[in-house]
Amino acid sequence: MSKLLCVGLLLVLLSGCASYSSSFQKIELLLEQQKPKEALLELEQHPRSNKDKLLYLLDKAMLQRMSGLYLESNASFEEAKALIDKLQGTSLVEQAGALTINDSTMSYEGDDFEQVSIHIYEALNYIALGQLDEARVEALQVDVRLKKLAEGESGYVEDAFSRYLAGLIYEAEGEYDDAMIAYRKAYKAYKNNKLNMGVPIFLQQDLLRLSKKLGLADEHETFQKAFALDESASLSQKGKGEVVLLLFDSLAPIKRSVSLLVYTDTGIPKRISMPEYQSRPSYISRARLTVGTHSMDAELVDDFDAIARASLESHKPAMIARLLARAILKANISKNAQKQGGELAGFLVDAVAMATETADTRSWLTLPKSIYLSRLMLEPGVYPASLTLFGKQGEVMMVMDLGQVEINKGKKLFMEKSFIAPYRKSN
Amino acid sequence: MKHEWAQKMIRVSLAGCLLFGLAACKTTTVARVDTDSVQDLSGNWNDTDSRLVSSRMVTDVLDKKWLTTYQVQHGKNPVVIVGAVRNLSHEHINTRTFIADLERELINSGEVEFVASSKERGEIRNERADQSENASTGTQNIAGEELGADFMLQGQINTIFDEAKDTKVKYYQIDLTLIDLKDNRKVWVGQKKIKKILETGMFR
Repeated sequence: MSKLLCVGLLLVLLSGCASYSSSFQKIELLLEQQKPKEALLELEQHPRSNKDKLLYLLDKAMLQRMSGLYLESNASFEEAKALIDKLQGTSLVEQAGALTINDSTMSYEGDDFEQVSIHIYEALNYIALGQLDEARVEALQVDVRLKKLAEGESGYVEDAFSRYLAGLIYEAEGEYDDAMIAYRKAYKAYKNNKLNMGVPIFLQQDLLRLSKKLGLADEHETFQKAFALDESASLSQKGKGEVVLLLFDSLAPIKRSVSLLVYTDTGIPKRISMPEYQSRPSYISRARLTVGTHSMDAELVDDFDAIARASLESHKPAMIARLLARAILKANISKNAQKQGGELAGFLVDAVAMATETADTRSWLTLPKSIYLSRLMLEPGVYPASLTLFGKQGEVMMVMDLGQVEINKGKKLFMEKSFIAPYRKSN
Repeated sequence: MKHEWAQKMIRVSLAGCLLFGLAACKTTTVARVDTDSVQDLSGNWNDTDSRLVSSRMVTDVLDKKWLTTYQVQHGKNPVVIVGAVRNLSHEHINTRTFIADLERELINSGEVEFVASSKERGEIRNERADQSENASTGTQNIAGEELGADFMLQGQINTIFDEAKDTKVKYYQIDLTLIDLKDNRKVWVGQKKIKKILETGMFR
């Protein structure tokens, strides 16, 4: 009897109490109030447990860059990368915990798309710091990371936006052949994705322009046929400079725990908890960049909401197998308890087993819901710039002032804005 | 009976002590080590790599003919300026460490003179402009007396990484070039290659 109680107690002690996603509310609230610095303070005051260290670092890095602390943000990202490397091996203790208690007992290693996103944001930090060579390092690292993911069995093999960004970086560095390779990979990824994301027109223009510039006549012709674009607009680049604007909309979806009761042959219901993504709302239907007298609509280039959902979907079979194995194991423990300690002991162990059965709701919550991109080619000079956001009914919701921008010949000027709208949860 | 109870108690408290000891043993220890010692932790670029590069480059650049050729031809020591050393690798590498090593060795050899790089010059010029307004006439350093460089040191780091399962191969190639500012001739090319093989375990 006492031995069994010990087991029960252990189960209670080992399992985390509050789920990860529910502890994020205050930070979210501060972000909605456009107070990233306060959100950063809030996060730093509540360091996560050791197994959630990666999430802490990722959220910290994101809040740091939202506060304009790009160098600090990169230091956090580098720490996160080192941690991911460290966590690559399998921990037997954690595996045992996951098999007997719940998935949250495992150290969070980051979903595949989250690991890739680290490079995207670190590259953007370096771009903001004006260090293109260092941003290029990230472009190379993304390639290594994706190559490695393609080897694994996760099914996550390409990441369209990170390829596109890599292409932009190479092109800004004047390395046109590398840019072409990255653009090709981005094109393939956008074309083959199952996420409802089309091939951005900007990428189509890049492919046309570069294939012509590099003298790839056959490829150029294929693209011409495939895109049916007015080429004159995309090719008149001589003597001009460019604005590249990124808009981060809302926040990535949040995982909620959904419980299911499964009836086994004994007739006693078993509780199984699964994470489900709940989208956070977006109030933007489209966005338009205006520089001087020129305007250009922004296009959806990355959809973390859809990527996250697809990723969870692909992990589900393995997850369900693990959950069922755990349910059976927990049932056996309670059956033994009943046999040795009587009805009450069996009931107690069962109750504990059910209480500890919570879903792993951890995910990188400060990622945006989606990324929009707009590019404009302009004659060198200084222009006033703004970004107009349109609501769901097509009404002008907000005009963000981007200040005076200086366009230099042959240079790309990268700018970014983030829009996290106030949002109250219904529950 | 009582004896048994006491024994049990001791056992429990021993176990408690052990647990407590395990939990409390997280302290920081510091050991000073020789800067020449090799500590490979993550397999990334580290101080040892930087040192290997600088020692190789220093011996190479002082040994080669360009130096004596210049000294014989012009009857003076060459003046060198450090240009950009581009990091085109897969890692964020601080190139300043081995460049500073190289600079120091060359200056201390007494055979090469260095002038401030374009980044460093800004501050010096500000100071000179300030002197022209605030320093006494006898101690002023006037503008327009700067020493023009004869050579520029440029370079880049390139890497090739390959990875399969638990094995990683990292190959670094560091190229430094000394270019004659008069006619763009490359008078010296230094190269250092580093190759590492990393094996990662299945378990942690």
